[in-house]
Amino acid sequence: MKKLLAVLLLTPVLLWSCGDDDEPSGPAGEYASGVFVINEGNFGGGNASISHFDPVNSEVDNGIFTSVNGVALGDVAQSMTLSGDQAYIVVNNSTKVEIVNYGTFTSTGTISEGLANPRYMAVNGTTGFISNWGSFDDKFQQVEPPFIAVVDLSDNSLTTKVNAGSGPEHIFVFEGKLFVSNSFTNNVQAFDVENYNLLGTTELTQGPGQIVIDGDNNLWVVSAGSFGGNDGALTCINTSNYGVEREVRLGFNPASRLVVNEGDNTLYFYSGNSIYQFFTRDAEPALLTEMSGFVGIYGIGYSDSEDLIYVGDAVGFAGEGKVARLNTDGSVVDEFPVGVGPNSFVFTP
Amino acid sequence: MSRLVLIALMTFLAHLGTAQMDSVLLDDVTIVGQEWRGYATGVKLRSLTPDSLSANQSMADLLQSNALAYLKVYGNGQLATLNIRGTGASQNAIFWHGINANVTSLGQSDFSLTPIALVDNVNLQYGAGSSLLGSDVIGGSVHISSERREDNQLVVGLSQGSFGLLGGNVKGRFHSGRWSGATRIFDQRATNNFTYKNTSVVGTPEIEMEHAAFKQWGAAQDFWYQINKRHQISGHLWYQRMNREIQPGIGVTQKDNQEDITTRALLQWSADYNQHKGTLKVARLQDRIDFNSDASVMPRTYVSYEHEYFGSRNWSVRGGANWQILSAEIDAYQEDISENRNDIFISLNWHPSNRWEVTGNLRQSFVPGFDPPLTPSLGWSYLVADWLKWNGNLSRSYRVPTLNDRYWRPGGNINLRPESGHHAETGFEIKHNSLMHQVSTYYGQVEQWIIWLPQEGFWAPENIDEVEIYGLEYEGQWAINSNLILDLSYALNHSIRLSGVSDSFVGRQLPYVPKHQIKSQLSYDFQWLSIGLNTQWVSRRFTNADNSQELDPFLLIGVNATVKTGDKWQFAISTENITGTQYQLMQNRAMPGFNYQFTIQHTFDLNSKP
Repeated sequence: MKKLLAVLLLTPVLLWSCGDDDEPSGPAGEYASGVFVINEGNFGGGNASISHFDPVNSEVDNGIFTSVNGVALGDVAQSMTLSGDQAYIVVNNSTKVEIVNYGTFTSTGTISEGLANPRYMAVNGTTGFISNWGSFDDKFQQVEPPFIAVVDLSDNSLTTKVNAGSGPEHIFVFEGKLFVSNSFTNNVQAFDVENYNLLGTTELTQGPGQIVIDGDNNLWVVSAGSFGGNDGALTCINTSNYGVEREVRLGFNPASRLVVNEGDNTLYFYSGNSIYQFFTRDAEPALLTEMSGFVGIYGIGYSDSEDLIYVGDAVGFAGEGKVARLNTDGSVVDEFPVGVGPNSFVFTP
Repeated sequence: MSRLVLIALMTFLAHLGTAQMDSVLLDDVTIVGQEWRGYATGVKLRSLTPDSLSANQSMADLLQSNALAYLKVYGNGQLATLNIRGTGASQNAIFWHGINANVTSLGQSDFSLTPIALVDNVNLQYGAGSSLLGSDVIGGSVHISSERREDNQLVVGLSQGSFGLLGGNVKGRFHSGRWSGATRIFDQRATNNFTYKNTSVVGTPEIEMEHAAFKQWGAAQDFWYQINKRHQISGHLWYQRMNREIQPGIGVTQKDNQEDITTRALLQWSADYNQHKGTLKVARLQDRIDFNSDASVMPRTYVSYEHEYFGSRNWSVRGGANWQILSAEIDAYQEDISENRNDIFISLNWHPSNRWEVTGNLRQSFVPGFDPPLTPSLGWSYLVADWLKWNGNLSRSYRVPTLNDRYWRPGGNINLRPESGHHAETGFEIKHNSLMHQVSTYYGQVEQWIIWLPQEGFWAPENIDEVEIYGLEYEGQWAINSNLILDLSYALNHSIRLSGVSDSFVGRQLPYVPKHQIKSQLSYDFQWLSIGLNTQWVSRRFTNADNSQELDPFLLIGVNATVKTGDKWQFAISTENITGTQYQLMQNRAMPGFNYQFTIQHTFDLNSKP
């Protein structure tokens, strides 16, 4: 009941924060509200899947793309992005983006033109931006250089390719700017969303991953650090001048995933089975909890509407993954089974 | 010890003559137990002596259609690993002339690489055999070898088949005075553009495979030289090379290429002084795998000596040792690795009476940084009646972690312990007029089972699981009349995880272990014509540890016909999967529907006419 109350109380805030003047006009359908879990599947196994979780009645529906559309989603679902009524699912090893109406999850199209190792997608109006690692030869030498595919979402055609740094990973649109974390490097780049000009480059700790924005309109980026170097970091970037506002050295290597709470003042991330929280005004992060029953955390999410943390366990990729919901004090609310390799969560607006 | 088993089998096969077309059932086991002093009493052995007309087949094809084994095959002509008695790919081994020839980095073998054209004999040993054969033999083992024959002959075969398949092989034998030899050459290629259902696209259209072509060739040379009545030396050389486009998963765009090159050389000396027999082997084996252009080179040097002493009519003893140096040049190891693995072993065979035979074996391996268990086994057979034999075996098994398990960076764990198992099996052999039956049941537990788990950004192996394995095998043959023979076999395999990394895995069947397999072969032989009907049915297989995903059961039917004109020409046509069943042996890897192969073979008899 408390949760429900929280949801009700937060609803006006959400509406306001969405910037909508009227009621939110999401799609209709069975999956129109709730949480999507992106299960990447086994590499080469062709068993990527999407789960839907309805927090109101705690119902889980696994493999919804296949159950609705009658075909496999593909190999390695890397990420999913919502925009309007549509969900864009980047299927890395199938070199495509599957588009569905997320309310019904019926397929509405596929983007595949020009892609090479697609990773993440961001949408600005009717323009889609997809980060691509490019292609590699036998010796893992780059053949096609890394790029951002710019896609016209009215017909899903490729508009152009914008050169990116090595291993472009998470991609984030904010106030007419496109931020890209180049995960094989030590920088984040900013591009103009209209003419794709490079606006600036921020140097930070090696291996930048997921980007979030805080209440001060600053970006926070998690850097995994160098391999085995115990030198990961959280970096705060000024979105106007692309300078580093703050760098928080972690002393360990975190996963390259980062989420922010509803109040935009607390970050959550993990390393191994340890979940950390970081109040952006604090000097350093604190251990929130250890997921003792987990084989290995593989993804993290934060539900604004529930004020809960979602954590995915890939269970060694040897079977179904599982998801735990945690209160912000680290205590476990419940767990539910999902598909193979849950790597991220997408919450409906 | 495997050598003894092999010689036992060869000796028996030689008695049978050379006209073996299909698998020989039952008798080989009996022979090992009774006529010849083997040390594998109570261990189930099967000869799969291949037909020369199937020379273009791979070992994977032969085993999948003729043995109670499951091959996890990653596409047509692609990587094929072996599961016998519900174990994993690394818990079985291939032995070349008695030497473990698993790829040392992976601890397993790709049975698609080995063409039947290069071997004379294929024998399958079911169940734990570490006391006889050393590491890796937890589920079973496959033995390939060539055989000395006093013959002068040249056999040339050409094949053409579906999906651009073209193949040719030449096998020559010569014998003169003290010298005998055999030369084999083999070549095969296919565009492999079979059609399959693309299950990842709306409408699941039939599309053509674009990236699975392969070409391979190989050659083997054997010689035997009889120094005198008591001493013989032999040399055996082997070279095989296969280039493959790696067949991607359905809906996967990745395109990899791999080249596998295997070279083997063995020099063997044997002495036979009636009561004493000695055998010395010196060998060098090397596997090279170029995945894309990332090369791994794994040489192995092998030296063994064993000595057998026949105490009297009713007992014999043998003992020996082998020394191996495994090396590896693999980028991911970050340094060149060299590791010694040495074994000592002793075996005793005792016939307390005409009906009883008992053997005991004891082996100790020495591997730096490890403590492989002392590995004993005890086997027996008892002739209950002329038509009924009871046998059994108790043994331990072990598997030393692979070089990848230990040295791969990141993740490799030098502190892994060997896998270790305890096993029991017992069974009956029944022969009654035209009917033969063999029933085996087995039970085992394997501890310290190694699995790889994801860490932060890499994977690492751990000794985690404990697995219980039990099952039943039936193999029977019915000579319906003098022309018509039915072979029928069935396997029930339970491989249950007793403990694992997640509770959701406990009590579940291991992935890719079918609970049921039925295989049958109906052969009709009439003068110049032979016709065969092969069927196999395999139950569903789970693809993951919690059994939440599975592959559908499948039935495959094949028909083949051979026409012989005189002693010289043979024409054969074989068809596989005549019903065009869509099936998978490995998750998301397409397999071909209906396919055929046409073979023409000519034999040149070069023996001087009397």
